[in-house]
Amino acid sequence: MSSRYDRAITVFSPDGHLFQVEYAQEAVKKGSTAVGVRGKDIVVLGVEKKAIAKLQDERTVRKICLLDDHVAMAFAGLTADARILINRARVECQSHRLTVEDPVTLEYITRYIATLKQRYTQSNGRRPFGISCLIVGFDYDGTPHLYQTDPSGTHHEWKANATGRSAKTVREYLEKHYTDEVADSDAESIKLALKALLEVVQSGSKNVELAVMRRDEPLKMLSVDEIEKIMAEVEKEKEEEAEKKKKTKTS
Amino acid sequence: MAAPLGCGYGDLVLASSRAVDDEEEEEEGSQTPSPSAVLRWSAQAKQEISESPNDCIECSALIVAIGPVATGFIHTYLLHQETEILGMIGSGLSEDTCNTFEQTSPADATCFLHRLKSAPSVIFCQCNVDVPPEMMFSWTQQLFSCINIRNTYVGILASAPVSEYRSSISLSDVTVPFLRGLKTNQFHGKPVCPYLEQPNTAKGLPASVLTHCQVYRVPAVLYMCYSDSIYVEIPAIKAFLPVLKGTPFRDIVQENPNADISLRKLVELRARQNNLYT
Repeated sequence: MSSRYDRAITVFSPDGHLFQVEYAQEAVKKGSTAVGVRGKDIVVLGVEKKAIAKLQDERTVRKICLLDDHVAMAFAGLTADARILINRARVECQSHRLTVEDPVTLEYITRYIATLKQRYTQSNGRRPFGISCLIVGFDYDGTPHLYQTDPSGTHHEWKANATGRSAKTVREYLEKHYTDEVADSDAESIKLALKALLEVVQSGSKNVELAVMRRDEPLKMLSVDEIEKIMAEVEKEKEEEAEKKKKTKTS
Repeated sequence: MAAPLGCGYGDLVLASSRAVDDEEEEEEGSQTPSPSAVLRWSAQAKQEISESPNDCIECSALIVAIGPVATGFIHTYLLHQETEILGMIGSGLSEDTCNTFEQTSPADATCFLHRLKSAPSVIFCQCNVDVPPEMMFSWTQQLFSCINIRNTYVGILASAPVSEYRSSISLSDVTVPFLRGLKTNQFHGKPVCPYLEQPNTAKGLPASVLTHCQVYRVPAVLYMCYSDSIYVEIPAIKAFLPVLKGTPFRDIVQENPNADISLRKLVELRARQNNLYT
């Protein structure tokens, strides 16, 4: 039955589905995992790095990008759609600065992106954007934010979230381990993002990319050495926990 | 008026018409015959068949793997020991079909019959060819033509995209990839996974082979792996692992300590550059 209602985006099915929007959400699941964590003084984005071809330049396959000095975004889904959306968002950020003489707030730019996506779910002959975005940054007043948008054009604020392949598993991990104590510490927030990602990604600094933004500081992509250092700490903590469990079992 | 000599009542008399060119009729008559699959045995297999009392290869278990996921699984977990090629089934003469015994890369579109040297009564059919629907019947006939299936268990492995799977449960609540099974009446015992629920059906070559087994009363079991990737991925191949505990696989399997490395190489070999999604 669905095949009668999934050809045109503007048609509801009898049971209220917009199949093209739902199929667009399936396209998001084809992209590799992206995770975002909002701390008190830091926002973290972590992505699963795709294996690239030998002859391909690594720099052209980026999942984390800047929209403005204080706004960064990670996405999952159709690469080409992401490029278009990022360009439009960047132009809007600069236009806002010039018009209003203030940098965009996270809520504003998220609403802009979400509105754009929603328009494509209600237009003739167009298909929805097949990407889901995690938008992080600090507002002018120093408040950190993490927002997520999806192909339907909805947007929500989150303390921590994931999108892309296996996002459900990662989200469940975040729900279990995100606490206010973790959010208060920069190092713990970064570790949480990494540990959540490692639930679904093969271990190794080659497979993971992390970016952090602190208040009044630009976005920083962590180097391979820094990621390896954090990974070593995470491994050590895991071993210590395993030792503790063994001791409690034997006693 | 008297009937012309040699014609009786009801005889069809074809009147020739000046409007129709006779040559056209001749062309219509000679249509290209529909292609059929061809089974070619290796020299050694031919000798074995000629020496056997019933012109057949003896077989206690026939494993048919269809598609890159299933063949990848068999290649990693069952054919990792020394094997020999018994034959091949060719189904087409297009440029990219392989019709020789030399093209043995796992990523080639080939359909070989293998046999383990350590277990010569087990035959594996590794089909990586997209057999067209009009050839499926002849393909199945060819496969069973010279194999003595009187006391044979048949195991069929295949994969399908999860978008073809119909269920009342939302697919976001189901862990993909997953297995579903079907069996013939003669197969006593249950598949190691849930049965394929209605209204889902097995289609294509796996269905053709299973139907043949049902008609000829051969105990056979079909395992379908539903996965959400159009590319060959390790989770989809590993989804077949429970199958190794069931008949007819459990009597054949020997542990492969290099399974993970072998899987990774296989997936890399088949990986096409996917730049569509990031």
